[in-house]
Amino acid sequence: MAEGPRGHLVFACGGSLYAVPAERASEVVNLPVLTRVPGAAPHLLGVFAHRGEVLPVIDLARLIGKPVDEIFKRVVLVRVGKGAMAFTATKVIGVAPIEGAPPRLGESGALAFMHGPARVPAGECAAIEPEGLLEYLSRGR
Amino acid sequence: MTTPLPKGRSRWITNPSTIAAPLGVLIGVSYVASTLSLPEGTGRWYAGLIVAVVIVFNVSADLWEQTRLKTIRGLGDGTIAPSPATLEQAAREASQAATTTFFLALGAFVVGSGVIAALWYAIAHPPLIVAVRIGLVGLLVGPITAVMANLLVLPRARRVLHELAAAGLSPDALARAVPVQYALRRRLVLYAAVAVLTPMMLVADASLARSNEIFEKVRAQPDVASARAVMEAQKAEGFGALSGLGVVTVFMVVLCGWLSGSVLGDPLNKLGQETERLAKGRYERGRLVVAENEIWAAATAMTAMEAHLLDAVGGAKEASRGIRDAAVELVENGTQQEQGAAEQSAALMATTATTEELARSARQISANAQRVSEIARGTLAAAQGGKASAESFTSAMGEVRGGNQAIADSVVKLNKRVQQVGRIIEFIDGIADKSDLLALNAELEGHKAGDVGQGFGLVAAEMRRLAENVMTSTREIARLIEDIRDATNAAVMATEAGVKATDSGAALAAKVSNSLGDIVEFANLSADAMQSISLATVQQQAGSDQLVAAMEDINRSTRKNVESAKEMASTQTALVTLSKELEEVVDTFGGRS
Amino acid sequence: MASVDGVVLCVVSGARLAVSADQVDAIATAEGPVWDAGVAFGATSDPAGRALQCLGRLIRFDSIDVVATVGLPVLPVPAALVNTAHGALTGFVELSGTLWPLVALDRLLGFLEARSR
Repeated sequence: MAEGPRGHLVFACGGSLYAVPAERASEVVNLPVLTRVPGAAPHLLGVFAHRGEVLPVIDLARLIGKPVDEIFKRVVLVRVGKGAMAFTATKVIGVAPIEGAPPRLGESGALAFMHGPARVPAGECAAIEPEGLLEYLSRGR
Repeated sequence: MTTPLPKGRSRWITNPSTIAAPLGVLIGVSYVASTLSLPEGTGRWYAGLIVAVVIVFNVSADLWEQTRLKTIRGLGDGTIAPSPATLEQAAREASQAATTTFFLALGAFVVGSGVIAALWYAIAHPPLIVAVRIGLVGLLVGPITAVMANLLVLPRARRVLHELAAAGLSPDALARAVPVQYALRRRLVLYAAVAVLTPMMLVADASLARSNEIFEKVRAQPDVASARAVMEAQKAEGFGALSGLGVVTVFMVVLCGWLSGSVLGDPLNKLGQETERLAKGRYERGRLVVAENEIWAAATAMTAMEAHLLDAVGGAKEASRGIRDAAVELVENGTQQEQGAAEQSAALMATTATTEELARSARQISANAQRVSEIARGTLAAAQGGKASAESFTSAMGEVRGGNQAIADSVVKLNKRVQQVGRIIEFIDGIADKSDLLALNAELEGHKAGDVGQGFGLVAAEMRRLAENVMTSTREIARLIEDIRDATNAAVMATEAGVKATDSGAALAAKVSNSLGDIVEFANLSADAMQSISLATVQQQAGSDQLVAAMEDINRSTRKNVESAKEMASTQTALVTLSKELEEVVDTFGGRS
Repeated sequence: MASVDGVVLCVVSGARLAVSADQVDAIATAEGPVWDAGVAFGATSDPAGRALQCLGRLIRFDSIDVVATVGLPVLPVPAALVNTAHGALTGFVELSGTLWPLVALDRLLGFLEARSR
């Protein structure tokens, strides 16, 4: 894809930086009280209702198998065509442009839907492909 | 222990005279028969007279003897109670019995033969010469019969005297009852004379009479042949009666000799045995050899000597026992004294050392007392100063307590203010957080709006930075508030502890003040006391120095005393040995005192 | 929008579950062979808890409450959770501002059965 730099919302989860395309990031809110879901995977921390909609909260660190014990302060709401979801964040850095298309971080699993390393002013981050990740998550396990 | 006199002793003593008299009569009759030819028809009277006179004289002599022995008879029968006086009387009777028998026998024979001759002459009218010769027979036979009776009675009398001694008669009383007569020589002469002269005269007279008779017969023969025949016939028949007379006479003489020898020899023999016993040192009180004359004197003297010796030995024994006991006691005392002296010496040595130590201590005490006196004065001054200091300290503590309380109150107030500030800061932080979130979303929306929203996004970003600064500041302030809270908490605790400390400090200071007051009082007293002690110890020092000197003198004396005691102990030990030896020597006189 | 009339609210190990009342045959004591609903949250239910009877089987919870509602809106399941618990999660109901996951009991039984194997 020979495109110009795309704006991404960059946030930290543990010691790693992640980025989602700014146009997919609908909102940043404080982490609310969550409702636990029966039979859910460990990275699915729970759900909360936001503006009449139930949103699942995904712990990206657990998702890639590197859990952290920091307190998540905020969640980043991401909306794609199929649905919406929320990513945990210890700190939201802000909107930053990412040049080009970094390669996938893995061939399978969740990493197959992350690209990096991508340069942002705050450092190197993994750029998330929200549509693919949601698809991956909705497949269940 | 006394043994009473056996019964019938009076008769038993005189029995030998009853035996001797017929013997004498037999001799007399034999003499008459062998030497005198009694006229026809007178022999019957003669024999009858002899029998009668012998009976009469024997009975009367016996009665006489018995009257001379009535005390002995009474004692034997029990009609007379044994007492020193009666026993002495009985002894006197016994001692005289032999002599009485002698004279009675002699008298009876002389008078008896005279009476027989006179009566026979008056009745039978024999030739006068025959009657005279018969009357003289008593003179020939009487002495030997009397001697024999005497010799036979003497041992029995002695036996009775021994029995009397056993019945309780004391040797002294016996010696008094039997007076010593120095007549041994006379007695021996008498015995010898009677023993020799009586047979000699008897034999001589008998021979003379026989020769005369034969001569008369021979002269009456007409011729020589018939005369020779008569002589031969006389020779054949004539020695029969004469030889019988000779045998009896010899028997009597031998008997007399044997008896006299026994009478003299027995007591001598016994005396010899007693002397041997004495020589061996086996003394016994009350031993007495009964004898007569010089032997009796010797026996009584020996008994007295033995009694004296026994007394002396008894005294010696007692004395030696006393000496031994005294010596043993002396040794014991000496040992004790020696021990005591040694102990005393040791004690005195210790006492001397102690006294020297005391003197040294006294000097030390004196020095110390002066030093303490000075210290006590110093203490008094220090205590007075301390009391003033403690009082000012107490008031200072009161001030500190007030200050502390004020600080504590201020700190509590500060804490409240800080907490209020903290709440405000939290509120501000919450606003800043919301502002940050709002600005973040605004930035996001501005970005989504593309170029149109770019300016909006910039403002939002700026706002976010502002909000973040505020949050950083509030975090800083929160941290400071936390620090202040910790500090004020510590301050509150410190001031509370300070208040408590000042409280207890004030109490302590009050106690110290009181104690120092007491100390001032005591120090005053002790300063006075120490001055007194100092004075007293100076005086005591002088005294103890004198005591040391005195103790040294005593010590010297005691050492001498110990040496003397040792010497005395060895001397006393030697004395004990000597006294034991003495006692052993005295004990060899194994008498019963 | 789907709705539900009458729900049974269940609590197990501090987690909440809602069941449509018409799926429940009876509320019974947890005696005899029961299925432990705590397993769905990686926990264990109170043995003295109550049980819901469904298709002749018992599912045990710590506590059970019945709420009579009429036309209570059912919020749809997010796309990321459509296959969760063998598809037992059918939606969410909101009561007094609290979200309750709504489950189909028969599928939950299937899920619990699969977990216990």
